Amino acid sequence: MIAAVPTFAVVGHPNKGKSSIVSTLAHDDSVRIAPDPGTTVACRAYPMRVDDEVQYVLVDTPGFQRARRALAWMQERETHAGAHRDVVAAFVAEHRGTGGFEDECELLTPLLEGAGILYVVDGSTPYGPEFEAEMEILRWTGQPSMALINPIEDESHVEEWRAALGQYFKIVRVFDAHEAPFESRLELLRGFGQLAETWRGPLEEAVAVLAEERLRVHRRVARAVATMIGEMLVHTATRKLSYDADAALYEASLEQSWKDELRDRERAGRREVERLYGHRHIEREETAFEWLEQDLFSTDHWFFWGLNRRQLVASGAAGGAVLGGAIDVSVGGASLLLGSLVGAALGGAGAWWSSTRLTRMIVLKLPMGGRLLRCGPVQSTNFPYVVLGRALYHHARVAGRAHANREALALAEGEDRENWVERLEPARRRELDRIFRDTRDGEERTADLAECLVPLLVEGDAPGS
Amino acid sequence: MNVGRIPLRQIDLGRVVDLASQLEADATLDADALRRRDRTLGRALSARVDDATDRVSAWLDGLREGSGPSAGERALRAQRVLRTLLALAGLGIGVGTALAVFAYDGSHPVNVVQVLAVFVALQLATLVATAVIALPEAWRRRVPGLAALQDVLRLVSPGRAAPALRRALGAEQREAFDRAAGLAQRHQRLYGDAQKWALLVGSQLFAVSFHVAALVTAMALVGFSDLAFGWSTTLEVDGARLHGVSNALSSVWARAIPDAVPTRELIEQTRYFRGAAGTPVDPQQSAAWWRFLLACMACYGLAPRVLVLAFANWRQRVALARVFASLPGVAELRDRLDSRWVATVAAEEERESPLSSAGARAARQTRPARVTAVRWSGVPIEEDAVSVLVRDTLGAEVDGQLAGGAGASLDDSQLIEALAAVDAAPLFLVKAWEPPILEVLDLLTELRAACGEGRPILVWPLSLDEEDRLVPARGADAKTWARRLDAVGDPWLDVVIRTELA
Repeated sequence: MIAAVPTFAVVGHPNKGKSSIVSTLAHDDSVRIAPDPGTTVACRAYPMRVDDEVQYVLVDTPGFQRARRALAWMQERETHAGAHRDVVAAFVAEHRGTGGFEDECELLTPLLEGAGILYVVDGSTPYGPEFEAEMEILRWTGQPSMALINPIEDESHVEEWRAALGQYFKIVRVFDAHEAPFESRLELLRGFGQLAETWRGPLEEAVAVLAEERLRVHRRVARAVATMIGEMLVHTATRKLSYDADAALYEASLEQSWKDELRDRERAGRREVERLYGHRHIEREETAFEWLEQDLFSTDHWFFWGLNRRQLVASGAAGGAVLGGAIDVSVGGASLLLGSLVGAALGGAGAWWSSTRLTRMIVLKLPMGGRLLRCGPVQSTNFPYVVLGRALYHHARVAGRAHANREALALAEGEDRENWVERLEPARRRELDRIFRDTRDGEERTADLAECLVPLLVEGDAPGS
Repeated sequence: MNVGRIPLRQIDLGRVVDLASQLEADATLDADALRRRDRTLGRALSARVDDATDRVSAWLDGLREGSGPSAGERALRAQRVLRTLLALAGLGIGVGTALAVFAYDGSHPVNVVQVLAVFVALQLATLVATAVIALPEAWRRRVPGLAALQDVLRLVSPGRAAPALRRALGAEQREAFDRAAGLAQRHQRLYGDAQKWALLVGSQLFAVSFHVAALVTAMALVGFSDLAFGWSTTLEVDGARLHGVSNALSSVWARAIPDAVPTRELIEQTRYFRGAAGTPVDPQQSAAWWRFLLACMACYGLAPRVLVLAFANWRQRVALARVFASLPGVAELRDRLDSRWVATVAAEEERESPLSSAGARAARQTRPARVTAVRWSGVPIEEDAVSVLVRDTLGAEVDGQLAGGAGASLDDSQLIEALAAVDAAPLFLVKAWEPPILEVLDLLTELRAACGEGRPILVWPLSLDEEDRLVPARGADAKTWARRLDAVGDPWLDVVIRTELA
């Protein structure tokens, strides 16, 4: 019996990663994953819906708890192989609600309703005879099946498992639920189509929809990051002052508030990106995302996240040369390109000098009386690159993170991280320069920045990035 | 929502305020619920409305169906009231100005030069100022001094009087107007252009009203009173020069209304000096000026203002449409409306696990000197190795060994019977990497019933080291076993874990 909508019950021994696989495939980090057996006590469906139309359903199930005794009960009532499925149905009917085989009844129910079997084992621990009763019961249901080897810690016993599982399942695949990149997840979903011919079409369509949705997520993230950078670039903090107040007394506290507000905005941007990728619980779980917790205003790290000094000077010199060139043109070349040379020198020197200069305080007179002390907007040309560098780094980690992964986000020790600006095409770099400059000047360029960021985000989402 | 009844409306201030309010309210809602709601509306709309901005507009109407006047509608009414007040002010000042400029008490004629100065020269100068204000935003950054000049000109623009007139509004309208102003202040980058054109629309409304009133007043004075016209100036201007100017000014209508073009004779004959004795000009002869003056007022005062008003109005609509399409949150809204809603997460909450670690902790007791070892579910260890491991690690002697669990020749009841029949304490050697499932707990419970209280039962989780040798378990696996067996609540059930051995 095959369900009309492709349905897959993820079954197996307790603590072998069933919930992890479901969590990663369903992009749902709310799935409870714990070392104690029996954490999952009831079936939970994860329907993949497109505009309310269900494409397929994953069902997380409790693990087998009394497989040997359940099989013994069935074997006592066995008449012939053709009646195996009826015996399993009778087992469920007799024990449902009695408390004796609650987990077995729960996990067998979706199979009796037509779900395919995804039997999950841990490839990092050895094969044992206790699994045979489970596999035998599953065989008795007569449902199409596939075995998934989930190497929770390492792959040391994968081959041993492959040999054992091959005797019970036609299809055996290895799938690391904690590390699987997006492409592997799609590949596995596509593979589920092998279980039944009628499921192949809907699964292919579902995979296409998920791939398309991923591209949309990139665009949404680009928009979120662009909005964040745009707001951070023009952000100011103000404080009203009376005419006789000494502005200097308030400068430190106002600058502190301004910095805090920018830090909060960056954090809010990160949460938004995580939400867009379906990571809603990452904040609670992570405590040590050390690289990003380095302070946004720690200028020692600015050359790591943003433009390095050479790039800054080159950028400043190019801008200066353009301005100086205008003077050369206006005098008909009589200056012998002196304008360009001087402009480049001044621009480069200015960029070097202001590379870590954050902002300045201004006291403004109010039309209705009184004064206004203003901190911001940020002045450093490197700042938007720093924010963007940090956002791209965070995005790459979040996009590549499987939803079953509950460990703290951290940069691998000794990772030699290439400066991302170095990889930028010159045209894109110039475009970013222009957008940042226009934004600083008060022009609305969020949509353009978002468009410019999409390829960078796609690159960050590629496996191995 | 009945999509079929949604009439698509032009984008005006009210639409922008309503959209901004709706997006602000939506920002507090759950993202998934929002996505679902908007996609449902989006699917209904996509078949009926092609343009993306129109879909947003229709979406807004769909959400607002059945409620009273919106904040946007109130803001729009407030704007209309303020503009009406501006127009009334223009009318009043126009009438006053015309009465002053065309004042004639019989002593001195109406000075044509003054009329031209007020209704032509001054108007052309203010038109230039209007054009400067209207220059694109991008020019502000590129033309040195332009930003400052625009700011100064804006300060003296009559459109700026609109906010000052807000006291004339009712409480609701004032609140809606303030809301719109606050919105513009928060999103200055977006609203800058729209604000500029709104200012110019206000100014031009004032100016058109001014010119209409002035023109009508002048016509009334011409029609219902007797006016005498002459020209007089301290400047060294002769009749020929003024004739040149008047010819240039009347070139626009010269063919259509030849009577409205002053002749050289008229100009020469109507010059006067206030200090000269007697009647300066012949009133009957000088009356020929009125056609020319009214034509000047209509052509150089009113007409350009009407054109600029129409232009500013159009540009304001364009700017508002741009704001409408690019308000923060609109891109996301379009995405929600037009992209398929894809969900993979669970439809309902996960049921709470009944597991608890609050069971009775096994009493710490002296370990038995003799044990019967049970190799559980094929734990990979040879019989000889069991004795050595137990002796070396636990300091106990192995009296006998049995195999139980999966793959063993004894079933559970036979195993329990065999263990209950000997004095040595049962010691279960289990795989630490396999979790303690209910099958094991059932067996331990049944064994306790068979052995009676007080007899120690030991469970020893073993792990594999890097070389696949069995060693006492430690870490998470050992703790899982200890926690799970503690929950059984058997005080004589002891879980041997490495930390204790250490």
